[in-house]
Amino acid sequence: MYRFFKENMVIIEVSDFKKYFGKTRAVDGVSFSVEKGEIFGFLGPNGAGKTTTIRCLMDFLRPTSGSIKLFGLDNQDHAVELKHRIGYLSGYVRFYDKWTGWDHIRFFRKFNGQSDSSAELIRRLDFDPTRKTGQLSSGNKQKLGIILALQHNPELLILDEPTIGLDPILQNEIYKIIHERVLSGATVFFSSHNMPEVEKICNRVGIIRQGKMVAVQRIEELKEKKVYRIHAHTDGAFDLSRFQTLNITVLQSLEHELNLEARGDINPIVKELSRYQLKELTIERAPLEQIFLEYYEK
Amino acid sequence: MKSLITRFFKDRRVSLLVYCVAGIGFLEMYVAIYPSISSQAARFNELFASYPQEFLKAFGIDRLDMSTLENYIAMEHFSMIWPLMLVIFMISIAGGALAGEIDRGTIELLLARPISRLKLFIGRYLYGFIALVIFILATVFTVIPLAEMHKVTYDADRYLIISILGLFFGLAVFSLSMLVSALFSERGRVSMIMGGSLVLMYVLNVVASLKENLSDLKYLSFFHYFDAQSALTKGELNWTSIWVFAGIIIVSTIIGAMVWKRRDV
Repeated sequence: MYRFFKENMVIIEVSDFKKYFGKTRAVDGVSFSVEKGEIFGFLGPNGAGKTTTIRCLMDFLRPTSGSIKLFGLDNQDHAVELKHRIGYLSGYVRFYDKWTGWDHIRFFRKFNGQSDSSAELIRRLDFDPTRKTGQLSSGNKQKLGIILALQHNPELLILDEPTIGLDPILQNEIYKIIHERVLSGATVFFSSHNMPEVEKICNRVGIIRQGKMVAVQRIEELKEKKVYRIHAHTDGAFDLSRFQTLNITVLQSLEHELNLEARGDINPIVKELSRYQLKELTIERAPLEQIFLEYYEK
Repeated sequence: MKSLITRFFKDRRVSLLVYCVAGIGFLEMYVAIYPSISSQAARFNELFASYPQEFLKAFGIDRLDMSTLENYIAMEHFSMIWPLMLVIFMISIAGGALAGEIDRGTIELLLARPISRLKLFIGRYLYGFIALVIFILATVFTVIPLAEMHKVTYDADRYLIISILGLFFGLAVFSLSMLVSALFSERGRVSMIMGGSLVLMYVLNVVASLKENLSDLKYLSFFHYFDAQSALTKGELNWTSIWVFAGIIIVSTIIGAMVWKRRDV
């Protein structure tokens, strides 16, 4: 029973959350939950309300209405208690320019308690903590932000664009660290614009658009949406009118070539294409990015 | 809390040192030249007697007498330069304490840790208080060794009185600045609002001293309550001023803390 509870424990629970800035509805009635051990990707176009939601999770902004619970506790009433258990990386990470990396790490260590993994993180991210942060490149600032977010081995990681400005090798190192943290019991909530990254590391995604959650789905479910890209090349001309009744989108139509996007059952399309003397036919699953973008544009 | 205060202290030690050294520098200048001024005191008093009373009142000087160091230093330093330094120093600390953190974007670094907003407010407030005490100790009581050094007669009690008055005046300016800092997100705006308000208060005090029918305006000015002349020349501590400043300190601090606790950052 206890094991069942632990495995299904809700770490983040957001209910009918709204945040208005004057007449602007930044977030307008968002609800979702994240369970223990999940890596939850939070996606959406610029201005959709991602950062506002994250900043409300962190109690930097106060919701206009609705409730936010972390580890089952109200995030405003138990803000201090909860922050012992949270590691946060801002999307616009800023530091005290005259402090070195060490100054930051040592200062914030005092508030975080005994557990500290900063030495290991410094080594793995190849970060030089002796330099003043005002002299650091954006990539190195991002490294320091990650070290500060993870140094106290938090149970919940809230990361706003964690790999922005990092080279591919470091990005992979971050993914590795995140996976290791999840394996040791942590939960991750992170926003990103990097679709392959989301596909690679997330279990579940929530897509927000114009302040509303338009989808919350498991990555596998999204992959099963069966969106295909079909490319056909023939000697003769295609009769497009015969394709009109099928569940397709014509992406490109040339005299001897046809590029289609199809959903669901592709057998009727294959049957129709078989009427032609084909020189080439390729059918491939559309990348997950395409599916994300559809939610963005809906 | 201790870490918050000590780190803030470390970051601002240079500015604290600069203000203290500047204040001590002014004191040294006035104390050093006082022996030659005092030898000419009778002539100066004659000269000042010919000044229009309104002109003197406009600068907060209603008793011109150079016969003691306290009279001289009250007129030259503690009625104008010293409160001006104190005001700028206090506004600068308060502006950086809250609004400055939002302005720089570093507030998220702090509030992502297990630090309550109230604790942050109190930590920054305590730093301001400690810095004010150090500034006052350095820029008021140093007059005693300087006077000894230049062999000038002094009355130590009067410096204690101006220190107490200055402490309440400085804390009132700081508390009000902390309230403004809790309300806004730009350090520059805090300086602008507080600077503008204090200039307005100064003008009100001057206008009130010039026009009989506008004399009640003086009650709206901090500079009316900060009467350095009475403190130093008569050795009087005006308790009304203390109570007015104490009221402003308490009300501003409570409202500032409440605003800071509730606002979006």
